Amino acid sequence: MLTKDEQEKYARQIMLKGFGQQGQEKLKKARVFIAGAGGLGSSSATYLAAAGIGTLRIVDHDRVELSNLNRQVLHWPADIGQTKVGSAESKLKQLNPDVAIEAVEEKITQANISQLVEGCDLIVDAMDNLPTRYLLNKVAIEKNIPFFHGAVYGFEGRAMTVIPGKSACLRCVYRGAIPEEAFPVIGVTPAVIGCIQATEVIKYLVGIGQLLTDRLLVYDGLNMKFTEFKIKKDPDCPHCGEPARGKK
Amino acid sequence: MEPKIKVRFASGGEKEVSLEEAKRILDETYSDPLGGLVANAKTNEVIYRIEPDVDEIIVLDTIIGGG
Repeated sequence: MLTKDEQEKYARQIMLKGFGQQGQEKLKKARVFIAGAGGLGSSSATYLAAAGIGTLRIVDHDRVELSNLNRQVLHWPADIGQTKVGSAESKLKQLNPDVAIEAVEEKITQANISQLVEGCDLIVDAMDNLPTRYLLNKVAIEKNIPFFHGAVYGFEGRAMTVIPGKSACLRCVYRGAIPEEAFPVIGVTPAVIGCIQATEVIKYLVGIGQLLTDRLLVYDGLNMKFTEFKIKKDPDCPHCGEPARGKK
Repeated sequence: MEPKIKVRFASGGEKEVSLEEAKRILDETYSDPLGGLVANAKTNEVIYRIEPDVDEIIVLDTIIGGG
């Protein structure tokens, strides 16, 4: 049940067709896993908190640095040297005190990922490297947890939604394994892509609209273009295809 | 006359190449450890081989940033 305050706070979205109080209650009951409290994580977590998601579990092992501040808008100059999850928690609690924040200061690894995502309804991919994205994608498929991918570089961003068992996964799309490295980025790019991820999460939880499944959305900020590429499930995908099913 | 395939690189630039050269670009994109994607420019469908109806492809780099 929504309280009177919640009904007032979320009145403008409750008014949306297909949303209603039931939709808001679905958001309130949800526990969302956000992998990374950087640029994408700042943007997606902000709008998911504002929308009234019940619990956000944010996982990141980094500390705030000066060079983060052009894009990681949850972190401010006074937070330099603090943990990113602690900094994110304090801002998100101010933004919406009704949202429970589970701030987990850990590096996501093969050894702990299964435990980290336990009890979460979906995963937001706000990572900065492909190997960890692959780990998240794999655990999402194995545990049947929807996965919301986002990535950025410069003025370019990409997003895609994965519904395990139904749509193509990240590994159907990408086959390489780019090592971790510093990359150029303008702050507005993760803001745009993080908001697209948050939109997808809200739609999925409420059960409205058409999800970004089997499509890779490419945002080109320099030329201000959005392009969609159609993706097919790869029967030979090592995460969701026959080879993976054979291992079970 | 040998069919030509237009190759457009999302990162910038384009060229017209032979079918064999286009196949080589596609294979190299997918075998490159840095990865990447190739799409049929007409349908915007990600492809893993060049079928006879393909006359233009788009090559996209993998991007991974998020932080």
